[in-house]
Amino acid sequence: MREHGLKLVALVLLALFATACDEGPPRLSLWHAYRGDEATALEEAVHRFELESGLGVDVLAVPFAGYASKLEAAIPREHGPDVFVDVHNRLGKFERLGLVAPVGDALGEAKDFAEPALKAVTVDGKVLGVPLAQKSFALYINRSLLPETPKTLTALVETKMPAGTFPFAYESESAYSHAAFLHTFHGEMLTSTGDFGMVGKEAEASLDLVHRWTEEGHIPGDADGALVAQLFSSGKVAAVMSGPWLLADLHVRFPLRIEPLPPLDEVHGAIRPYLTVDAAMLTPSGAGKPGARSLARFLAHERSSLEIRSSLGRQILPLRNVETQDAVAMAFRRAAEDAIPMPTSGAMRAAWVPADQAIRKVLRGDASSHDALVEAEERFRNAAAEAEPSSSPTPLFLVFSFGLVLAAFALVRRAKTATFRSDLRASKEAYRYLGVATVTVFFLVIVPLLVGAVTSFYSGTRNAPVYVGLANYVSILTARGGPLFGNGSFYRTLAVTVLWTVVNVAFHVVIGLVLALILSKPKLAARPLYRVLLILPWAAPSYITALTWKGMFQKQFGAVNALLGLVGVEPVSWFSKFSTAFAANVTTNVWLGFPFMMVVAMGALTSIPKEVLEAAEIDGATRTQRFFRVTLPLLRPSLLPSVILGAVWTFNMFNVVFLVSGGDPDGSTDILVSEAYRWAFTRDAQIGYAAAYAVIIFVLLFSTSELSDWWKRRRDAQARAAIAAHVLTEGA
Amino acid sequence: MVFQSYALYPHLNVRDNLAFGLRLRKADDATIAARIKEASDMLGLAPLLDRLPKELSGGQRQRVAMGRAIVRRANLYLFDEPLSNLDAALRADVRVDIRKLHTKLGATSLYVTHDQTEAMTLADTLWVLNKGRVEQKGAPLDVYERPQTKFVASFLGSPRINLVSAALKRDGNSWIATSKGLSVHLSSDRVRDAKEGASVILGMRPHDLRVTKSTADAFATLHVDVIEALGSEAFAYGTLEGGTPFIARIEPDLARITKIGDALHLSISGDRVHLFDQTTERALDA
Repeated sequence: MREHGLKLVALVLLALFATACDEGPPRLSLWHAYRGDEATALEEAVHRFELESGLGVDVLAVPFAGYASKLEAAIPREHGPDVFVDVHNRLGKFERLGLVAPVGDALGEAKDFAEPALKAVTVDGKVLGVPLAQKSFALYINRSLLPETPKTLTALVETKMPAGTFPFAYESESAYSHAAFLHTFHGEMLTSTGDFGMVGKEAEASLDLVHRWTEEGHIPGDADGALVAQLFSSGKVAAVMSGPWLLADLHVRFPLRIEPLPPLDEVHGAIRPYLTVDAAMLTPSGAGKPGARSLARFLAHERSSLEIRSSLGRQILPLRNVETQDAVAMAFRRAAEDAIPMPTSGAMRAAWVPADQAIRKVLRGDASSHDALVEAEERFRNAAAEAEPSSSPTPLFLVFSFGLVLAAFALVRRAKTATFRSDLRASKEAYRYLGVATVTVFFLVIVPLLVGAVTSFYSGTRNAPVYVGLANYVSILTARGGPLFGNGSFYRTLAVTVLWTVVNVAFHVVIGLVLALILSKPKLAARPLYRVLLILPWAAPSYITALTWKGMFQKQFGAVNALLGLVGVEPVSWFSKFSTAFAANVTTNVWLGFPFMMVVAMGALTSIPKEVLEAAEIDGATRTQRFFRVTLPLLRPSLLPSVILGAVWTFNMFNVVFLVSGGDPDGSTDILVSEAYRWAFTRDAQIGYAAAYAVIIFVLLFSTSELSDWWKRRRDAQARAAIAAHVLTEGA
Repeated sequence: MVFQSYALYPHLNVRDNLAFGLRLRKADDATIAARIKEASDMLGLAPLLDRLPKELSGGQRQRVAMGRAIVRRANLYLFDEPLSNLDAALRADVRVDIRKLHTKLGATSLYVTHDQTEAMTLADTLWVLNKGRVEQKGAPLDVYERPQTKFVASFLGSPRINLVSAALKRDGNSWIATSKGLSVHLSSDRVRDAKEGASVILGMRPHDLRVTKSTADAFATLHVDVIEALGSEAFAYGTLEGGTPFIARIEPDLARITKIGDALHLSISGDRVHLFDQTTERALDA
């Protein structure tokens, strides 16, 4: 045995030594976030590079969701790749963080690239990426509905169609899509100084045009990506404007044709959608390696790479002169010629949501384009990070130390009590059992909570935090200096959240209780069937349910309006008014939440002895009296914890609010958590501000439940005291 | 109505339990208070008025359940096996309470029980029900001494009455019932409409049996299998000659010296033998 062990150690040492002495060329590394055919094609292209150059390349596919943060974490610590593939619009941020270096000779012949693609990867005059592929809109045409493509989009839009079909559709609610028309009118989403650009005559004209199209019924309103795809593949729309990604979702029976977008009309000229470019980027260390540069150059220029990426990966190559037989690739390449590269500035993140909201408002006819855009600009400025003056951490530090001293003092006083030590010794066994759970909870719950709390004292983005003390809290609690109940203020959102919680829980309890009572009727036939059916909404993942309900509340094609139409109600634009949008959210959440209360109530009902109800009947109680005076009070102890739990869940029910109304109209149906989310993820990444929201939510919920506990304890104590007093007086 | 499981309202204290029915009837507060006082004095509930049912013992709960019935001032009280959930000692106490209460209230009470002690001690009139049918009604002792069906005979009395199949024989003016290992002289008032050779069921309560020295007085001989000595009395379990299981009450002193396997000669007074028709199971003197 011993001899074997020695041999093993020797072998391992030898292996280590051999690795260390390996004099072969160092391997390159490349990261990407592609999936499916695109990933296979890229890896094959890399393989061809290895064969040709004799260099080894390690390829790592990273899930898209965590890609950027992994890059941000790894590259500064020298654990990153030499080359990575990502979309160009992150270049601004990457450059600021020092994750990328100018590509130098990796670019190859600059004149080979299409002009917009090259522009896309150029930040402040420096070329920071080698374009590999590009994505922008083209026109998908259903040839059986539209045999001949009109010369202009206006003509296409105004084509007479049979009832129930539209000549044209696109994701009209999204600012990303609308940018195509905005650019045609010479507007822009972001000014060159990084301010909100979607204001003024040009932007208004673009919105008015689309609004007119919607009003006149040329294009479907309230259209998101899923609806557009569905309408097109079911033959209800003759042509749609979309990117190459639509192809993957499309399974059509009709003759499909993809063409470059026609000009809007004779006056305004080309439609200019956003262009995104996938580029090979070089990390600072990679840029110094000739092998890494030649890898990037190979991927972008070599015939064998282009071939596999365009055929298998179906990528649209951002090159000027590539002869291709593929009509689809041709159409997309030509469509990209007029495209505008998406800005690389980080301010874009804060622009999307206000722009989206303004577009929806105008298209639903809730505001003029002028008013909506002015408001959007206001929102953008409100949300964009204001550099809070950094403040000294000393006061907080003092408070914290004082707290620690107090805690230590209390602990010492406890420890001095006579029973403390013996209690401690007696509980040793119990502590051993609790140890693992305590440690787990500490790291999984307490630590994140503390980190969140600490984050709330900082301002700015994750990468450049500035300590600001309580400034975030002050700003939130003073409604950022605006009116206390103004749109988007903390107090208004809190009021909406409380209303949301109360209304939901009330419906949950009432519906759950009524159903439980019906299900507990002794003579009910097919009870197991009903029970399963009623519990189903609970079993489905909530986000799927939420998306389904959102679809059902769609104005033109939703099931809710269709049903209302049967009884002669005009289609309701559910998400354009607070009341209807709130109602839609509540409906969805009630659907999701009642089964829980029903199950709890069913369980609680079985614990009520039949004789007690019989006794009440003999005492002369009617059905209603029996329910309110006996059943309900007896259910209360078992329902109360569920009600509190349900209230907490509802208070933080992010999925429904975010997915159904999305805060529409104007963020008025947002609740505290979805508001916190928007601060963290859509408004220029103000993590600290969002953390302050989270801390406030935590404090609110915690103190509410503590308060109710305290109240219950006090009531119990009073009752006990009354009994004791009575017994004493009787005794005397 | 007083339930076996008390059926108190668990969420209400004793006072509110008592007041529940009155409140439903919209009685005014003064009346409610007066009735509660009355009932709680009667049942000794005054110290318990502010407690919840879960803070009471079984006997206390049953008293509250009675109180709840009393405050209603009903014309008829229905007790549904009220003592079944109590332990034996408590059962005896509450039984006496119920009897006293009944006397005080002076209202008709219908008391349902499986327990013959309760039935015998509490009832003015005893109704024996079998499968929903009234088998016999009457004063408790009458029912005990003159059961009119085999069911009533076997229902009342502990240990159970001995039942033996036999045939009737005329012996001059009187009748004799015979079976294997058994021959009993019957009192004539027990035998009406009897026919020679009719098959009957004999009922003999263990308490009516005597142990005699002489075989001449004996109607049967018991071979003892088990002796149960209770102190004040004792019971001998065993079989007759023919193998029929039989129980006899014996004196405690005799129990001391009797061993398993001993033979005891039994006698009985003729008027203590109950006779039932083999097919109708009704008493021949009915």
